[in-house]
Amino acid sequence: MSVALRAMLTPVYVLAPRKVRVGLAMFSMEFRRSLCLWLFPVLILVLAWTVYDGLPIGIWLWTETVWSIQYSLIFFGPLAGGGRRGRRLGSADGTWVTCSPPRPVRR
Amino acid sequence: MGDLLSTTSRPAVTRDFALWAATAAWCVLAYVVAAACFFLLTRANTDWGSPEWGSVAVGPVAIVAHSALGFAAGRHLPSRFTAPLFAIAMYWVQGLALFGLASWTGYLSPLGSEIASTVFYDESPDTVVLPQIIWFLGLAAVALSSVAVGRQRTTASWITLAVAAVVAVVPAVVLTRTPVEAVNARGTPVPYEPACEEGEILVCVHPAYEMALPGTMEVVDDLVAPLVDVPGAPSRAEQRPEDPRIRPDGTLVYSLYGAFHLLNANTGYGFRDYMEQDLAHALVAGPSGRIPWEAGAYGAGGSCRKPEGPRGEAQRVVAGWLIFRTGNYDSTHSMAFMEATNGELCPASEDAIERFDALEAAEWQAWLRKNYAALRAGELTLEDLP
Repeated sequence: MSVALRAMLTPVYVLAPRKVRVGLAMFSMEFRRSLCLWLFPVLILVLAWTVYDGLPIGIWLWTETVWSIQYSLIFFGPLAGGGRRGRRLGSADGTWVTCSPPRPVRR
Repeated sequence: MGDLLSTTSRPAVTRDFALWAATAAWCVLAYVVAAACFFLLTRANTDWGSPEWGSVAVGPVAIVAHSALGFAAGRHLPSRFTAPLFAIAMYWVQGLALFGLASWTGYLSPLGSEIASTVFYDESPDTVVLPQIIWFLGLAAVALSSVAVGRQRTTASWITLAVAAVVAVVPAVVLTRTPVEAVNARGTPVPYEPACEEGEILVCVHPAYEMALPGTMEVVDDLVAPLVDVPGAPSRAEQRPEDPRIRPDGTLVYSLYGAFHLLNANTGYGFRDYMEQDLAHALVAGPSGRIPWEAGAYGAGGSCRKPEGPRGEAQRVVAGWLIFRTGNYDSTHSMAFMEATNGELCPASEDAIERFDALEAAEWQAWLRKNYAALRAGELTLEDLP
C-alpha cells in the first residue's frame, strides 16, 4: 500500500512547489506510520458486517446496497472519529485510538 | 530520513494536519474498499437499476468530518476518556438527529433519512446531497480551524474559523428547512415492465425482484386457490409499494418489503410467513386494506367472551383458514399482522378455523361465493361462519 502511495505521489514530488512537497511528505510519512495499516482488515470487517447486517436477505438491490453502505456510518463514523491526545503513547501531538501512530522507539 | 529532516522544521499545526489527514485517509480508504466490494456483489447479482452516486458520495465526506471533529476534540480535551466518550457521543448525536428529534434534523445526520429508498421511485435530482456534502466539509473545516486557532492565534486562523463556520451553517439551515418525507412523496415514479407469470392468477413483481417471482407465485397460488371463481376475488396480483389490499379493479397488491427487509434470524419468520400473512390479510380485508380492530378483546369481559367475537374476527378466521390450508399455520405467530389483539385469535376463533377446514370443498366454496363480499365489508361475525 505504501509503495503504491509513493508511486502515486512521485510525480507530485517532482512537479509541486516545496510547501506542497513537504506537506505530502509529512502525509506520506504519517500514512505509513499509522496503526491503521495493521488495523485495515479489522476496519474492513467492521464495515462489511455493518453493511451486510442492513441488507435484505436473499435479494440484491442497488437502492438497498447504497442505503446500507450509507447507514454503516452509524458505527463507522464514530469509530473514525474516536481521536484523542496520545501522551500516554509517548507522542507529543494528537494521536488516535482507532489508528494511532506506533509508539516511538525508546533507547 | 529525507522525509524526517524536511518535515520536523514545519509548524506544529502542519504536523497536526498531516497526522489527521493520514488517519482520515485510511478510514476513507476502508469505506471505499468495503463499498466497492458490496457494489461488485450487487452488480453480479442484479441486472436492474444502478447506484445512486449522490448518496454514495456523502459517506467519505462524512467520515472526513467525523475524523476532523474527533481530532479537534482530542486536541482541545486531552484526556484518555475523550476518544471513547466522543465516539459514543457521535453515535447518539447522529442517531438522535435521525430518529429522536423532529424530522427537520434528519438530513443533518450522515445517515440521510430513516426512510429507505425504493425501486419504484427515483430520488434524483436529489436536492439534499450537495448541501449535505458542504455541511460535512464545513464541519471538518470548523474542527480543523479550531485546532489551528489553538496552535497559533493569528488573525488568519480566526478568519479561517469564521469562514468555515459560515460554510457549515448555510447548508445546515438549508437542510433543516428541507422536510424529511417519504421517497414516494419526493421522488418520481420509475417506469418499468413487471415480470409476470401465470398461475391460479397472473402474478407480477418488479423486475428488480424477478428472482422472487417463483416463490411469490407459489404463495399466491396456495392462498388464492380457494377463491378462484368467487365474485370479488382478485384476478391478478402485483407487487406495489402499498399496503396489501384488493384494488377495485380486482388487482391484489402486495409489498415484498416485509418478506425481504424484516426477514432476519431474530424474528423467526421466513419469506413464506410474511407473504402468507400479508396476502391472507389483503384477501379478507376491505378496499382500504384494513380489518376492523377492537381494543381489549381479551381478558375478563373482553369481546372474546361474546358469541359474535370482536369486530373483524370473522375476517381473521377466514384469513387464518387460508393459511391453515397451506399447512403453515401456527397459532402463536400466523396472525401477528392481522390486527388481532396480542397477535392471536380468540379461542373460539381457533375452533372456527378448524370447523371451516373440516368442511367439504363444495361447502366452503358455496359459502365463500355467497358471503365473500359481505366478509370483506366487515359485515359478518363469528356466528355467521359455518
